[in-house]
Amino acid sequence: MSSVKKVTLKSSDGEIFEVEETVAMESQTIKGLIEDDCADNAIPLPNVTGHILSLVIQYCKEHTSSSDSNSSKSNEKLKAWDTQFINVDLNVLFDLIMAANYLNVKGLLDLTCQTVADMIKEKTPEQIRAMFNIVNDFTPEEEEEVRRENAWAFEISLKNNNVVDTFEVEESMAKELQTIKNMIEDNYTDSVIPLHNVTSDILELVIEDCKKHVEAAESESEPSYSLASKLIDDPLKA
Amino acid sequence: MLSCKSLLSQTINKKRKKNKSKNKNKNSSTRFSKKHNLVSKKQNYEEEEEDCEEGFNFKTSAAPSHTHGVQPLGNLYINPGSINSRNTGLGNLQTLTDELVLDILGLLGGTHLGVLATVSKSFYVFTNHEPLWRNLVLENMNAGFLYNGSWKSTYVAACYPSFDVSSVDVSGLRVRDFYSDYLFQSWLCANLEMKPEWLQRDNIIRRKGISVEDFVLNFEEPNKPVLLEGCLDNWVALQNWDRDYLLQLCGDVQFAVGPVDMKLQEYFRYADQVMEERPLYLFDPKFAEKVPKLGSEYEVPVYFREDLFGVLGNERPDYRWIIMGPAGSGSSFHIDPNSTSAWNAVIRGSKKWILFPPDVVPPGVHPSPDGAEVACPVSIIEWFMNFYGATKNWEKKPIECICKAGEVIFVPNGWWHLVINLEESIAITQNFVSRDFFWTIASGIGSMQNLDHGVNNSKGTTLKMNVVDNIFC
Repeated sequence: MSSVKKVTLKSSDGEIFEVEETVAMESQTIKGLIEDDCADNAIPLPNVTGHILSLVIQYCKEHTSSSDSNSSKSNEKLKAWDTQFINVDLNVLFDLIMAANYLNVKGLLDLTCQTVADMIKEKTPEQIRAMFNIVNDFTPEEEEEVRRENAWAFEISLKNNNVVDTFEVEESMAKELQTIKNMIEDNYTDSVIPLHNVTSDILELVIEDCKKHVEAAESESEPSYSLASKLIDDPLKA
Repeated sequence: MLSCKSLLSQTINKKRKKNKSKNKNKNSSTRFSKKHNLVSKKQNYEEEEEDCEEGFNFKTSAAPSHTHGVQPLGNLYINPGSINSRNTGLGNLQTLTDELVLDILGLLGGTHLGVLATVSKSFYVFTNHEPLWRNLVLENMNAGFLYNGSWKSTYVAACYPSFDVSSVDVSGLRVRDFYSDYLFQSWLCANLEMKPEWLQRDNIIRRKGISVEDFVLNFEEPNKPVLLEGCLDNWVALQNWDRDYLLQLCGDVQFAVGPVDMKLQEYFRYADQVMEERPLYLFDPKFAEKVPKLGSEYEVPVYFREDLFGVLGNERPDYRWIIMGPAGSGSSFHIDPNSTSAWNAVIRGSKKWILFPPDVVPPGVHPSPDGAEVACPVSIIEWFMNFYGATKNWEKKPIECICKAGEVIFVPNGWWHLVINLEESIAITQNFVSRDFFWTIASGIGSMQNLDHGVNNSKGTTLKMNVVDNIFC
């Protein structure tokens, strides 16, 4: 029985890993070294710590065995494994991105980058700053200018039933309506939210009312609801 | 009339005066107009008359520095005590490289980028990186788009029509203390002019009025490039084809422009306004079918008429293209697929060509082992900046030339070539199977490398089998 070919990898902090060649070759960088006959001794990887390298190897192991025709691992199971795998600290995640880039492991790079992208989506600027430890370095004037330049990004379109009447409203205002708030929080990806139960004229009234509500809340006076807004929240009656 | 935005500096044609005291730094106080329809002749730029061995010249309508004030990393070291707002504004993300940050941003939609722009100065600069918006436009609006001065503006105007993009200050915010090599380089390449020394070498063999036999014997069979003059004299296209004529003839016909289709008038609108590293290139293989008059106003030069592609009839892959592009557009190094030869005739404008023989891989180019794929990660202008100099000392120097209106270049099969338009240009190119290649495949010697790479996206037909089937069955 022939033994499985192995390669030795050495992390920046001196940890040694013995890995099957097929697994190691998930890394195009290491693959290149093997093919150029530079892999007889331990391959030093000065840009990757032992902790991160062990994670990368874990990923490669899982993904090599799944491409093996004998493996019965389905795509779904692999995705589930990936989701589990990527549930790590933010700093570990960034280190994984750098390692996947350096070692050229495409699947891992795609997975990690997509994870960060998903974290950014549907967040407010404040939430993004909090998440990544970012200081807001705009002056108030600059912030206003930038906000104005990108005001379109903060709007949500509400589109009613048959008539294509689109109302663009501030997200904060649209969230006054529970139904819409739920849609937004569930990451509704379309930029236009269709409201099949509401006609244009009613929708217009509702929006006006929500505006007043938001303004009143800001000035701390009593909020008032109109009948129409209740219609939105109660689809049975619409 | 063709727009005259040009990459040709006046220095090519003038004697260069040495004047070392002039400061070439991009932050010097030269006045650049922001209009994009200036003629190519520059006025008032004393720098143009100097020997430009160091430093770069910028296109006529370029901004004197990065739109948002990005500086290269080197400047961080000469500004003592300066912090890099790139890092403070990215927070934990600062350990990632610029390319990785942009990879992540490339996964986001327009609204996400817009929101992100308000997070910090750093994110403002990153999210305004034009290639991000270009991808969003090309991926989501392939039915057509109206270029609106920038890719971001184009996207916003199309997706949010009620938002008044013109109300936003064109140049946007300038940030201080932002240092990034990648972003600076990207801007630099979009705004650079061709340096005179990149255009100096012209060592191609030129011939005029030679016989077909002469051509076959001295160039086609030995597989050598040549520039032929005077064989387009009877082309109606040479007289007629300018912007006005083409707009009148087929202004609202859709032409293939990279990954999308665009109406010709929309393409010209884009070409007039664009300032980017890799401008979109109009490259259409069905121009004669779409507009038969175009096909009737040119004819294949006599040297190239024996084309064995013809035996394939309807099955022949794409073989002829109309090519239009602004200054700076072109094709980076590639070998034409299916081992075909090509001729390229310039009708308007001018093109700089660099050719390497089949056995010499150009610097900075990395073909895959089977030759089927070519990785040339840099843009054409960046190739000139970083790799052209290396060719000076090579034994096997490349063949170079500038091909002007009325001239035709013969590109033998298997030769590497790079082309850049020095001004807005219109050309026709055809691929063909030369007699020499026919004998090669008929005798079974020829190898079928070079399938399907390069700018010309021929169908991956197994040429050899088809030709053999058609000839011998």
